[in-house]
Amino acid sequence: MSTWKALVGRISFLASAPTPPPETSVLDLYKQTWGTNPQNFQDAPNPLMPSTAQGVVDGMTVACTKLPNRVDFSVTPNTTIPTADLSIRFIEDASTLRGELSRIAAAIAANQIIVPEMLNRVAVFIQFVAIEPDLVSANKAVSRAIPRGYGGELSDEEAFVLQFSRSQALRDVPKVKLNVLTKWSVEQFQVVSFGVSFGVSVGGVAGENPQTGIVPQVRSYIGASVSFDCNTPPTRETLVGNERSALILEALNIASRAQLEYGLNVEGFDRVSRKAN
Amino acid sequence: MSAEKQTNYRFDAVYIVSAGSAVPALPYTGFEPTQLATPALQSTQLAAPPVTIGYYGTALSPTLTVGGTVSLQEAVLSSNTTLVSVPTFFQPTMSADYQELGLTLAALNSSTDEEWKIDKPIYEIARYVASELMAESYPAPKLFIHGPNSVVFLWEEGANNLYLTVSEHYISALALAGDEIQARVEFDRSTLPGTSILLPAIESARLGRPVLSSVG
Repeated sequence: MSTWKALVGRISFLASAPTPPPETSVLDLYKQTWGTNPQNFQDAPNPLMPSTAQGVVDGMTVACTKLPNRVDFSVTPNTTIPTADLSIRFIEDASTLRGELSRIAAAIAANQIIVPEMLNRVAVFIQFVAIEPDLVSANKAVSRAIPRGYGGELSDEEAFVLQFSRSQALRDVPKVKLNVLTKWSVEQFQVVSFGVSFGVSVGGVAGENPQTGIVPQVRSYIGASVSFDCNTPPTRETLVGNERSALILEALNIASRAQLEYGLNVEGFDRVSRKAN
Repeated sequence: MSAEKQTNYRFDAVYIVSAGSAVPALPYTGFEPTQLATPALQSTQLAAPPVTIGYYGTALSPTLTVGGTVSLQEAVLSSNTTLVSVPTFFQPTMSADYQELGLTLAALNSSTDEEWKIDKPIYEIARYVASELMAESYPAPKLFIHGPNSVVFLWEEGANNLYLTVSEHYISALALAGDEIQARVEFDRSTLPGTSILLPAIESARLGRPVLSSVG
């Protein structure tokens, strides 16, 4: 049986109006969200590129990214501690992931995180992955996760993708509907590390006349992937904090129920960690 | 330049049909900031169909010569106008053309030369429109200024040109085939449903009929 784990969670706010939202600082957004200065900050090197603030919280890499037309809060595995074997990292405790995203939603409702109202399109993205030894195994893993009636027999086909969306109306936020876009796919993952190597000249002594150079290392994996992209369509409606929060929380509920329904059984994602409450 | 036909008209519908979600090109998980000498995780699909939004890639046909002002409030959008997927928000390898566009905008914003400087609100609006065009995978336009209060985006294809003038309250488009005006339209930015509809709407105005645009 496959072991499904959480790879990434992201809350996004996008603009759907032709008027740009007021300028906001990604540093301010990071501090509002995680209550501390980021460990890494990169200002936009180009007006059309994002600015990013990043740190590590509860063993996960967290980041706030800002473009003129969107803001993203992402949660990914902590890759700051290198491993010798270039193993692929996951968010091992999925309850922590869900808890963190839920906490961000609550903070938005409480106006602790100030996202401009003109970014009135809300999106939540969650990806679960099961690493498999080969393509055939990955195809089998993704096939098992596809609801009856949608999938067929897969063997060694490459580049399998199944994707569709279902829209749902929310009682708490009647002014917009929620598109629930689910994608089943087999993907190739690469862990890339750039390290500095030190060598010795031929016949020399260790440490004498060292040769240095950048030695990129790459390790590839194949995995089955199921991702949920829950988002509201472009609209002229203004969404206030409570409404945005309700949409985010409902998206998390939908992803939680769906991953159980599809047999992923991601450990912990059906509950919120106590630390995040 | 030949005389423009002053035909005022309204069109009944601009149909934007969602072709399902765009399967984004590499990389899929978006921007994952990494530190030097630590593993960087990339997720790639084994084969990803390209996002096929380059709407202005179609050649401007010299067959239509209507002009006039179109009020977009009168456009009716089909019920399939929802975007069901969120665009991939960052391509680490931004095209050189969009990089150049961004740097040009920055230079115009920070210029102390009155001949080249644009006002801050215009910079923000132009930057936003450019971001939306990039997110929709439109080819990068060239950039000109039209005084401090507006910028002009230009797409050229042989003898055919499309000028998009962006000011604080309006977006106006001028389509030329050689010296002949194909279409001239103006949109009140406050009533425009979104930037993604902009170029298809211009094409619809040029053709004088609904157009089908693949979005995702």
